[in-house]
Amino acid sequence: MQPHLATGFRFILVLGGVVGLMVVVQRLLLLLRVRREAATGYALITPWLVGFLVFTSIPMIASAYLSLTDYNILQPPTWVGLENFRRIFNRDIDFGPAIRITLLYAFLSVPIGVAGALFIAMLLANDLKGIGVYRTIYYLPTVLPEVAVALLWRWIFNPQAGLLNRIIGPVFRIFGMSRPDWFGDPTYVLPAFVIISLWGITGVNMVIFLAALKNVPTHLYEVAFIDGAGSWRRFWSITIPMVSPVIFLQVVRGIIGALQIFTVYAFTNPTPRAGKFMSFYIYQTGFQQFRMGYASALAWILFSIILALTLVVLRSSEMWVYYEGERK
Amino acid sequence: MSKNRRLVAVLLLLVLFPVVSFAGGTREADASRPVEVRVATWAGSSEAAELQEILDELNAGTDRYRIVQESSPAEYYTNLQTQLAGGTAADLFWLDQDNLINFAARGALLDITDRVEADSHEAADLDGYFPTPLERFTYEGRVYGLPWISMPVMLYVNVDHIREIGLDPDGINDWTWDDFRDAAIQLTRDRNGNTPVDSGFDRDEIERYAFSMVPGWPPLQQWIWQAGGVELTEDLVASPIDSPEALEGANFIYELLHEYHVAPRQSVIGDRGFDQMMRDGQVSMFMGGAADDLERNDNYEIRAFVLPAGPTGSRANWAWIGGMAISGQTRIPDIAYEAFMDLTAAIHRWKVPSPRIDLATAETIVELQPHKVDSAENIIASLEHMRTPHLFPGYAEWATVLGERYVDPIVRGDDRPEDIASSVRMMLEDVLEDYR
Repeated sequence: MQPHLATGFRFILVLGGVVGLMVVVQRLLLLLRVRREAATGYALITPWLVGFLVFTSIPMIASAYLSLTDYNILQPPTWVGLENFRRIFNRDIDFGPAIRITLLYAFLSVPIGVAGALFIAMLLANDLKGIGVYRTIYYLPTVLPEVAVALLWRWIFNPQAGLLNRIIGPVFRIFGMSRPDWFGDPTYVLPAFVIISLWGITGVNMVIFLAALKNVPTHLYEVAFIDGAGSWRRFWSITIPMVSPVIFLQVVRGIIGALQIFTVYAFTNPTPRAGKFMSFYIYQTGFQQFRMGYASALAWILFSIILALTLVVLRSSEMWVYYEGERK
Repeated sequence: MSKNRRLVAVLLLLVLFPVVSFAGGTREADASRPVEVRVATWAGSSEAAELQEILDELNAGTDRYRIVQESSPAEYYTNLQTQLAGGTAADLFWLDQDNLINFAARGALLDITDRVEADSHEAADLDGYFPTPLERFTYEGRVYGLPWISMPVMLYVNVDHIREIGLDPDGINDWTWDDFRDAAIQLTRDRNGNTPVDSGFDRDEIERYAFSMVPGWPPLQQWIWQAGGVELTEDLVASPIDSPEALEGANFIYELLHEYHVAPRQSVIGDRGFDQMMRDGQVSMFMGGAADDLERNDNYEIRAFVLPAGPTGSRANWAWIGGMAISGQTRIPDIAYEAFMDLTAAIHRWKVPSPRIDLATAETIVELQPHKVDSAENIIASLEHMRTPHLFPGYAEWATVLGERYVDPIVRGDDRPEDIASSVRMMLEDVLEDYR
């Protein structure tokens, strides 16, 4: 059989298997006297559940085990207990700088990103003539592949011919300084990545805020206006509380995304003297140095940090997130 | 069909579907049909097309095997590792010198020592190879693969630019570091035509650079070797990068890059293309592998020369060795070995310079790559200066420390070698200790 026919045949089998699995799950649940509606619901989410188990849960459990081993991918892992973690915290010269730049990037880029997305969304929430065109334009960056965006930024930050240095170069010249080498000078690497993160202001984040802003009841603004509230007061006392659940969502998504930054770093190739972002460091350790057990330990540390920060935001949300309909 | 029957049918489908879909079809030897041998390569589209012609010819000449090419130019080694971990790796795969030891030391390659010793195939004559490339395909005295290219680093020079500054291109093969530095200074020009030693030289507006260098290429080790130093001792115990000789090599580069600004920043090179700047006449001298085709240029005359001699007279150059190995997981070791030898011999007649002494001649180079007619003799002369680093299973980790903690600060930053060499040496020796 031709290879492409065999592949096509397997695709059909997989599809048939998935549908069959859903049917079986539904039938089994009906046999167990589960309500038809619930049984159908469970059946429909079965493919996702199976995918989650096979492609996420099992690899996570495996990586937790591997983090306690010396594993070079090509040979079976050997148990080393907590040695990888001990080494990371006591001897690893790259871990500290990697954590530092990753956290700093998250702390700088997330607030700027969330505030920026809200600001753009507020501008685009106005019902002006032709606003749909602007909304489309501001959404366009989302459809560009991350690699293309990284290459575009690399050009913008080019120290000699880049757009940014062409604009700010004369200022540096006045002070007798050379144009910044954004990815070659460790001083500028973090600011460069924070600037790149502004790209995320537009696109999905902005659209989510736009939807939230459109859901704020207009009568609240009307009442506040009649009571003499200025635009700042209306923004602070009505807009912010009403969209605070979305701000919460964006902060959590932003933290997770920022701490996992990889593609842009890999394609802009900044100097490692500024520190390597954790995801790239994990990749380098696992795949370039054949230290997958150690890389798994690093990954679990990153996971723990993301989890801890998410929990902090989650806990703090009681103080600043307002849900319409909740009673105090 | 009753409901229960349908349920049984669906259950049967579920049980059968993984079996059918994951059954890859084992390749049992069948006397009536050639056995399929898979070869993994990093070849890009044009290289893969050339290789396919070789494979078609080999496949047509035998009914023992049929070699199938699996090319993955992007993330080649990541793919290879993943396939080996999953037990789906190709029977043969291309490896370079840095990676052979990683795979050999971790049991991923077939030990072919005994097979090669008992073989009369032309590619199995180990005495016919240059020692340096062959050594890189052995580990702890055992042969794990064979090289198919042995490529010294050459100094590619834009001869038109050299004539423009009044130098004789025929003298380049005799250059010392001082000659190279002097030429580099004269070749570098800002937009007003000033050289780095002229007052008013504007380093932000350089129109033509003499040289190009990024962290990692050309390897800093070359200059350390040429100055009489080493970056890693043969016994894999020390990394004396703070020795006077090693510092002299690193300082030569520091001086070129930061006192004379003869090379563009990495960001500029990254955007314009490393070798493209040379092709476009924006860079006058470039160090590249002997197989690079920089001589193919309609606008400039470009030739390859031997590297300038260091203070000790050494012209040591970093050799890049590419070769092939057999997977330790192959289920058809005998047929795979047969295909491996035939393919290796065929590639020896395709890639230049060949690692085999009888094929590494100027005539062969010109025959296979006519555009190298003026470079061929220099390439052959460079073969005797080839050198490779001392490799060990932790070399990737060691090289990362050297690259990120020493080379990057010197090349991309402006750290003086003597300020950081001692501290980096300690880090490097920490890695060595872990692998001792």
